[in-house]
Amino acid sequence: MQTIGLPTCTVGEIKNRADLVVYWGSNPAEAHPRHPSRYAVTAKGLFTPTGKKGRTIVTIDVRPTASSRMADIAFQIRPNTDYEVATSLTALVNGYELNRTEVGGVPVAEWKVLADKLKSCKFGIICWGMGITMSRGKTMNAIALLKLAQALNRFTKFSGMPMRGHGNVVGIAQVMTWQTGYPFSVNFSRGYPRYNPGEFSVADLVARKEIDAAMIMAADAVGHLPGKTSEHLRSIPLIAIDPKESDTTKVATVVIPVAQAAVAAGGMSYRMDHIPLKMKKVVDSPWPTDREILERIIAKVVAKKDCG
Amino acid sequence: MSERVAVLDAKQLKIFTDVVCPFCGTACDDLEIHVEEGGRIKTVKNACALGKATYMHYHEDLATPRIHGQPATLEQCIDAAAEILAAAKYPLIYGLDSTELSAQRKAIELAELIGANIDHTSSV
Ligand code: SF4
Repeated sequence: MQTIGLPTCTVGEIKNRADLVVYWGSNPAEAHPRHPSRYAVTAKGLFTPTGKKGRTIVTIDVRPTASSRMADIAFQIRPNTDYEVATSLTALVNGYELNRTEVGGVPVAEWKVLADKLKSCKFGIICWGMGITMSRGKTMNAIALLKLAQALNRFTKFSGMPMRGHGNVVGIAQVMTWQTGYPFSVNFSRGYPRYNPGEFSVADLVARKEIDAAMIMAADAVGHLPGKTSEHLRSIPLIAIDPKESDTTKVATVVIPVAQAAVAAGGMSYRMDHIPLKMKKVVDSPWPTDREILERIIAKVVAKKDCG
Repeated sequence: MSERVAVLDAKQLKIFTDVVCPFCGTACDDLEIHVEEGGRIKTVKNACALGKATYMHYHEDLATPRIHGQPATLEQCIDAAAEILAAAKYPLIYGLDSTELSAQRKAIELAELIGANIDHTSSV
């Protein structure tokens, strides 16, 4: 995304304007259950008064999903062909012919029909998910989809949006970007922020056994990182700050319970379209919030450094 | 109707409206949550099954303060954590997805203070 830019919009614009929605490598019916009803499929908006009737819903995935059943057109492509399919569609949108009969296991004739549909909608959006970012090509796949959206903007209004998931992951990327200039994988060992995914990204740091202590907050690193890499985490001093028990808290040297954000602690978080929303506190917790714990740790670290 | 009766019966029922669900990026902002006296969440309206479970199962599996598996006070834990971080040569701060912006900002401040690597799940 840093390399190409994001032709973006809000979910409100999807609701009010989109007459064509492509869910690509994403399965909202299971991962974002109310995305279709609130914003992208059945939702009725200012320029989409008939809801689903007025929209064309396309799914592109490697297998039939609960989401492909709600689609008007569902493409099933061969695994790891997303990049090929996206670049071929871009070529077709740009008016080129393809010198082959199928792409991703689907006849080119069908892709041509789709390319025409994409060009002739009023406001289209591609919502992509982990099927794109976790298959061969990874971020290059997302870039290919954004290039497709870019090409379509010569004919109509078209956006792209990653179906960002769990919790406030958009928030941490935003905050890191304002604070350090980079969205993730930042290193402060020289006193200023340096960015280098592959060197400073968690999986690589842990796999190379470079780190000698870790603080895991609001995520289950031991449970979610690949088995071999999480082994190193178990062998070093590990601090887990989490409202709930997890695989990480089970092996951590120090476990600090906290009030769960959005349930027992208020605060701000970002929606997938980068709109900040206020989370409420609905119950009390005996434990402080993440922020208070960090403030107390920071004060102690400063004191220790001053006397050391 | 039955709902109004419930409110009258249990006067202490607190009703939160327009609650933002933290579970998936859809961030539905129309949840209605009823909390009984004593802090038990009784009803979650408008959410999908995932969002509902986030609130209804909140009280399960809560973490407790521990050092090397032994119960400790929060103060002792915070001290131990500071000790570890201040002594580390090449520490990592990781996660930060399921929390809120001001905590995320503090985590970056701490990373800068101790010269840490800081990363979150987007990089995996
Ligand atoms: S209610 Fe369901 S769809 Fe809405 S944010 Fe929560 S988990 Fe996502």
